[in-house]
Amino acid sequence: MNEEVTAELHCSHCDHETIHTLVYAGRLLVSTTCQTCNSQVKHEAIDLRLHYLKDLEHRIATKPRRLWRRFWSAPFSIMISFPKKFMSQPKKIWSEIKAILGR
Amino acid sequence: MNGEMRIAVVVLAAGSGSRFGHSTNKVWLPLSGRRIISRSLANAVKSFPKSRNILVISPSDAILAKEVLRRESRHIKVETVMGGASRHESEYNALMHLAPSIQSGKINVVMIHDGARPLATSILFHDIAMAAHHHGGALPAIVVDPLEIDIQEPREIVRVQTPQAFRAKELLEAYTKAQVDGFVGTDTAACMEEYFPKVHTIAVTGEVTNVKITYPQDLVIAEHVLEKRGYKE
Repeated sequence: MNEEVTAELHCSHCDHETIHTLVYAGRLLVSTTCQTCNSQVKHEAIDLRLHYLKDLEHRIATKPRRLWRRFWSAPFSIMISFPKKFMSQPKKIWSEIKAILGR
Repeated sequence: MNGEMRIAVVVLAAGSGSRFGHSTNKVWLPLSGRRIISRSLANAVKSFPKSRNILVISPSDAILAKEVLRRESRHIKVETVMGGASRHESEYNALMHLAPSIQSGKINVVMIHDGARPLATSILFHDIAMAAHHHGGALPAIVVDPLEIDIQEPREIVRVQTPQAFRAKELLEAYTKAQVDGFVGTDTAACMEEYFPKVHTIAVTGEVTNVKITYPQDLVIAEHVLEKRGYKE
């Protein structure tokens, strides 16, 4: 799912720490925008798409191991949340792809 | 050589606090699937299976820290300490927390790392700790290309990074004296230099990729470095 986070980072334009809005698609950062001057830092479009594909491949490959680890740490909560999370995966991936393509 | 090394690893994550209200301290930002601080912590303790690990946080991040540690750093035994208004004060609080163990000799080296440097490798941590144990102090440094900065004097300039490590007793004494004098150092080495100028501090070759997340661009660079490393460190 696209995730928006605000954080304090140093803006090159304002030359001091300002609040930035960071947009993520899955594990990847899509853009950061300074809330004071609106200057934006983005991944190069082609680079981001390739990066996203590689990252998605890595996420899928490591999912069973991550799920297994989480299952052993909190079996009850994972059993409750798993069906809902599993069903929401296509929507989540689609939303990430839209963020990558439609930026 | 000074016998067996008994190390405490201190990772600073208190930052400057939330000067802007609800925004996140950058060390808690996600970076390729894990929080920046989780990556810093994992790399910092990897080479030291018996270390005492201290995470210095801002009181306002206490709930978030508990959740992130549970989710991402479950395999690491971490003690959390509340930070202060400055980096120096956070270091002081961590050292006060460790003081009984330092005074009894259970800890003889303290390594301090900036939580916003998630790419420092476990090899660097190991090299710094060993150098501090042998010589008294150690820090990573990168020689700056003179063309990068406008300097008139023909002298070598280095850019200092973290982790920085020192023998525990001297470090504790330096920070205790600094507290009495009201001295505030810019980093760990500055305080040691003020009170123990004769302690031999070794400059270990730093890592170009050991960037401190400061600018938005640093996050993009860090993602690329992690991808090249196969997300391993």
